[in-house]
Amino acid sequence: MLANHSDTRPQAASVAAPPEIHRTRPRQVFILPTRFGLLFGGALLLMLLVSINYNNGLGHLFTFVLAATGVMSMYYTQRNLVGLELEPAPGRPVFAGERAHFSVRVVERNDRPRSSLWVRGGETERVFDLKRAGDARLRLAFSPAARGLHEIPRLRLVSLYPLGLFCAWTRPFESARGQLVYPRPAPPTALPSAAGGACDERAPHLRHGDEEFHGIREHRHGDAVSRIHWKHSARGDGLKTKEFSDPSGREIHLKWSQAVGYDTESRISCLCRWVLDAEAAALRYSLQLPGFKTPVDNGPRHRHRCLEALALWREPA
Amino acid sequence: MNLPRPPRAPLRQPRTAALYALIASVAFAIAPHLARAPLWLGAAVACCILWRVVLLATCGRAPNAWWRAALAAALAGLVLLQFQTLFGRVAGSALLIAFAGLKVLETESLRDAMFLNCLSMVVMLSHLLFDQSPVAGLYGAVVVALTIANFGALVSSSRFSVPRALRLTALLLCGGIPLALAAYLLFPRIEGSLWGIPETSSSAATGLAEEMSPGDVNLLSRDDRVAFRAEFEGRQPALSELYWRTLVLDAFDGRTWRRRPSAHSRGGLKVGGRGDLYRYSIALEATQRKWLPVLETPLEVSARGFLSRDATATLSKEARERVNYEGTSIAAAYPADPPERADSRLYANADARVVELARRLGRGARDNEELAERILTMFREREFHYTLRPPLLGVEPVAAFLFETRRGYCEHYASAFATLMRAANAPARVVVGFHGGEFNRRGDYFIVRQSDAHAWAEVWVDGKGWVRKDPTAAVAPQRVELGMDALRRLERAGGLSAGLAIAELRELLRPGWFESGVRDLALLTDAFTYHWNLWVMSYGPQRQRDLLRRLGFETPDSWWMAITLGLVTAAFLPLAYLALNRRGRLPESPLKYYRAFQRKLRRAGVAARPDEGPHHFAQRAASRYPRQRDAILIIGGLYSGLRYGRRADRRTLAELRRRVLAFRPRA
Repeated sequence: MLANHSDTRPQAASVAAPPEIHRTRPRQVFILPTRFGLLFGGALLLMLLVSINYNNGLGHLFTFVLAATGVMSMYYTQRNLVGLELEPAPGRPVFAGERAHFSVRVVERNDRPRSSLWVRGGETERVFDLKRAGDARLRLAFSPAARGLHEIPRLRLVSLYPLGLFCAWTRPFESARGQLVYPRPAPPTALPSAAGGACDERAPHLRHGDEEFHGIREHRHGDAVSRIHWKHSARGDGLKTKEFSDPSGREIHLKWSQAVGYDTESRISCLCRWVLDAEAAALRYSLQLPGFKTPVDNGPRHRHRCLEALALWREPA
Repeated sequence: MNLPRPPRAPLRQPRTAALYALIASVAFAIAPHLARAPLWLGAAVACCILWRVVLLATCGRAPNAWWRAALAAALAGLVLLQFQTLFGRVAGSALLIAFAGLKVLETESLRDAMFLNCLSMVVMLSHLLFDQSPVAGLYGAVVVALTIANFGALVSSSRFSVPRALRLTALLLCGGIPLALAAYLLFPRIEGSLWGIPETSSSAATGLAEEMSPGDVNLLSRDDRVAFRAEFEGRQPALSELYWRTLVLDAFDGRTWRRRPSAHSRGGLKVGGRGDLYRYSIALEATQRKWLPVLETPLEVSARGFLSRDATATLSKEARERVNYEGTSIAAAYPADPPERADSRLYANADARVVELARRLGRGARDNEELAERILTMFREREFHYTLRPPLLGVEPVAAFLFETRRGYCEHYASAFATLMRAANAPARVVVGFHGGEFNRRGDYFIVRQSDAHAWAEVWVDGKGWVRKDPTAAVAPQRVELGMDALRRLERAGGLSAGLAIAELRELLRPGWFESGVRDLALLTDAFTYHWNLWVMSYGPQRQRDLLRRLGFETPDSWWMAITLGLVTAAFLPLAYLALNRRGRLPESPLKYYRAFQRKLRRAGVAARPDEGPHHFAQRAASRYPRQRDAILIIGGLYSGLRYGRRADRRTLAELRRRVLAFRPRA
């Protein structure tokens, strides 16, 4: 799926990194009979005993034909998983508590169509077919609870094709690529004053008078509800947010020391909220953490830099 | 390496279409049972299936577990009431279809559906216990295919179309057939049963009577049923030499020829003379009797049979089912067991005319053989006639035949001949069996029918043994030369009494194109039946051993077979794996595009050296055209991947093609 260009959140953490490709090799595909396979085997055993007891030629014949078919199906099950390439790709960064979507591209490399493939990763599983030399991109999701760089959940291909008598699965693929998770934004909190002293006593949504209406853009997660341009949004092409510009070109510094909270995580959340609000208010802002500082700037790139820093920040030992 | 734990199997509810297909095939598997099952059971099963179909169509819910348990108990109780048991073939299969019907009713989840599908295989098998005809075989094959297709449809994640089902089923079945056939041929069969004694299917008794009373019946029975089929290994005798000996009758009371039990004791057969050996195998239909027809003169017979002193073969118990056996016989040789006094004793109160005739014929004869020839000459030259509808004979049948009616068929002539011999104090007896048969050129074997039954005589000749004399051949050579079947057709056509020579009769018998087409079709059908019987219905321990021995394996016992089967399987499994994981052939050679790539570079001034592989060539070209370094290296990499196997797939080939076509060397 192509990135939504109107969305300013950057794509994967490192766009330039070469694609990470896992190939399913025969020795990484495991296979065991399912309980249906055991049931089938039991039925065949019964049939064989009856055929022997009644000395029944046709009974022997069909029992053996079914057994041989079951054996053949084992090969087909294993073969269904061999020679595929998995290319996991982390999705756009999300805020902690949100569902993170990542994708995996599966490419058929052995020139044969594949049926009933299941790919499992995180909380989701997808079932799909592949044409000969075809490919599919599947979106999977997981819910990271905390901020940081999370490993993409391990991926596993499973297949019962063709008869469901055997289940083949691959050794889980571990991706080296991480999913970036921003901190969870705190509930709306007043931005610190430009002077850098105490917090501005007015909440951002009450400061409309300071700004001039600038335009409308797509709604983004984290935008204040009060700024949603409801009238425009009602036209049906998604939520719109009113943008205001601060003619004064005010600059604010979002400092660790000013953040509200008793512990690290709530401070980080507070700072995250401020970054979002400052960006929404089109302020120029900088983020200052112990051992880390950004220049004063604004725009999606700057916002991402700040949020990434917040996501990855560890208290210096 | 520790194996990762198997994942939870990915399962879904079966699609409604797959459930309908499953129910239809279970109904198909049950259908042939209904002809045999009691009416109430058939009705109950049909109701269950219909109920389920209605529920599926209306999205209704199946009756709850209590109801179903009650229904199951009720049906099991009724089966018990009807058959007094729940086990055995009849009651067992009735119970099975009752449960299959109930299972259809409750089938909702994938697990139920898979169970039901397995059940339908067992239902199919239980029908085969009653019927192993080719039609039953077809039914079984269809159920097997449906079962496989149903498994596929039930677990398929996408829509499962009929062509897809057919393709999948065909792929799996065909792939497994070599293994299945090996198992069928080699899996050690055992004699008898594992538990209980299976009820045998009773088939009507056919076969020769154990006694013969010429003149009591005036119409030879026209029983076209097959008595046995015989296949020769190597050379086969002429049709006229096919005397299938079954029973020797050596006690005559004036009306009826019977067996004297003492002469049939086991073993001790002596055969004199030398001649061609014939090896043959016979598939004898169920006769309910002990006798095995063998070609004259038998030397050996396989199966559970044994040869008696009078050169007949006997089973230790009645043949309730088809018997397959092999025999070796020798031409121009005779049973050499010396006669007893009873063999030349004439019955009490024999007609004086018979004794007088025998004395007249025997006057001056050097030995029994000359006497026999004189009698045959009499039959040939006097007014004796061969007819299939002879007049009835009175209380003194031999005299009535010889001096009054002079019309009869094989029994009359054999009986009269042996009686005359005995009247002249020469040992003689009657042999009954079959003569000739129809050669099936579509299967290279003889079909011998009940109507080919024949009777002839044997006389004791010192220095030779019991020499066969067939008086019928003297009277009606066409019976012996052309066979019984031809004789009947001739009789219908009126050619029997016209006194034509054998060659003329053959001409008369030549069939028209339509008739020969019909006959051909009948022969093909019979060949199919013969091989079906041979390979399916009678393929048991005996046939298995005979077959393996014929293939050249010495003493193939059960262990040998089991080990061989294991070896065959062990060889098959990796072969199948390799065959299935063989790389698909590329639609065209990648070399074509690599050449085009080299041509483009040659024109631009970089010619490939003959000793240069794709890797080095690409390196060199890339250094000449640094601006297209990536494009050149990628093409080189793609080609070597395609050529040397790391990535020999269509996708890579398509990419190579695209890149080569787009490539323009620019400095």
